[in-house]
Amino acid sequence: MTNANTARQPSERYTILVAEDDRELQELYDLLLTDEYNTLRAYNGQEAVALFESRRPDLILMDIKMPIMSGAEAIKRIMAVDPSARILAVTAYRYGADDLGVPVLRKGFSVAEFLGRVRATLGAGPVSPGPALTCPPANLGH
Amino acid sequence: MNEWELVFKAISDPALILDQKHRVLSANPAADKAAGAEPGGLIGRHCHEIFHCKDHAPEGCPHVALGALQMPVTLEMEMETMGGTYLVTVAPIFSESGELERTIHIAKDISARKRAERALRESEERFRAIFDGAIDGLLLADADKREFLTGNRAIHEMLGYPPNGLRGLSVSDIHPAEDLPFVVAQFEAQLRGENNVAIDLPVKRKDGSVFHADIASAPVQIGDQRFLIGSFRDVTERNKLEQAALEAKDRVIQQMQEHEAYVLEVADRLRNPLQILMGYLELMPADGITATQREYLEHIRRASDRLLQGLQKLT
Repeated sequence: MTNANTARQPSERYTILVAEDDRELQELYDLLLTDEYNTLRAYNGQEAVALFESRRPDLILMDIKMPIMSGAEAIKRIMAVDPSARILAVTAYRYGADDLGVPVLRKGFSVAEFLGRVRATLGAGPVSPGPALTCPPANLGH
Repeated sequence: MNEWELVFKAISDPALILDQKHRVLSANPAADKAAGAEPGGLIGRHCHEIFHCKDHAPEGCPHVALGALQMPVTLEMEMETMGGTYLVTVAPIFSESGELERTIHIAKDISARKRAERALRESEERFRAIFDGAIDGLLLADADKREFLTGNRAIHEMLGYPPNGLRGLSVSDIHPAEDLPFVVAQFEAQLRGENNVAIDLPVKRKDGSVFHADIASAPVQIGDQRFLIGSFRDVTERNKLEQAALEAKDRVIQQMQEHEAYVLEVADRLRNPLQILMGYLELMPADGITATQREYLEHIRRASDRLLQGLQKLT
């Protein structure tokens, strides 16, 4: 789970916004990602859109089926704001993510597969670490 | 033998001359033969005794009727001793003073004709019983005039008409106006023998209400006249059953789809906890645990693999 990014200072790391309503999964993603990336948490699509707009993360891991606002809707809104936003849809469902124009990772993956897809998606576009985090990830009450 | 006696004896049908008390004064050979008597054997005997085995005139005796009417009488009679039906003509013979003295009876055997008539009547009754007993409505149309001639009880009840109420009506009277072009085309095709069953045609009752019927028909030629006989089967119940079957099928399909969607939803929902299980299993350190703990972990890993494979098969 280490690469060149691991050795970077938090201010130099990529920031990944994880939008997932399952808190246990959030914990797992955190565990898998924190060695290498800064992470932000959103528990529904609405929070994801708000965090994207305020923090401009380098990658968004977007669950599709979420309360308040679905991941699909959140992806549309984010793409409308920034068509170059890097998004990896991570979903348990077979439908709902096919026509969104973003890569999809179906749940049931191995750790290596997960990290591989994260790196691949981050590397798919122009790589540039996001803005330096000067404060801890926003606490949205979760 | 005088002229009249020659003529009397030459008559091929039984002929008798009776006095006013029904006694035989003369009988021709045909009468002797019909009664099974020797020549002259009938003389002096009563007509009703010879031919009806009665000691008095039978009911409807033409001799009695002639006495009352004083004019010739012709009627049909059963002749018990001769085993048949006869057309009996009785004519009066008056005296010079105008008194009724005698009567001359000529009996023509019409048994064969009566049997034929009876057979025809029975045959007609049988066919009428079949016609009227049919559950399907039967309607006979004049192919040239395009008019209905007769129909059975079922077609009158089906269309709400009194008995014989369909006579003189035509196709346009028993089908909705908007469907007439199609119905008339079907009727004409059936007349040409091109199509003998029209399925699910709308049919109009006398009160204007509409039901659907399958109409099977066949052209019939009687003498020079062409007819079309149509058999109407009310398919309202069948259509209802078919509709109910279709709806039941749709319901079953919908239930199956809902069931399948539910199963898939459950399968998808299982992926989150499975993902958590798989993730933490991979993160579990290999060192610092006993061999037994390692073995247990391996069991858990294999079980999670099986679960994932099962879920992947569903999708």
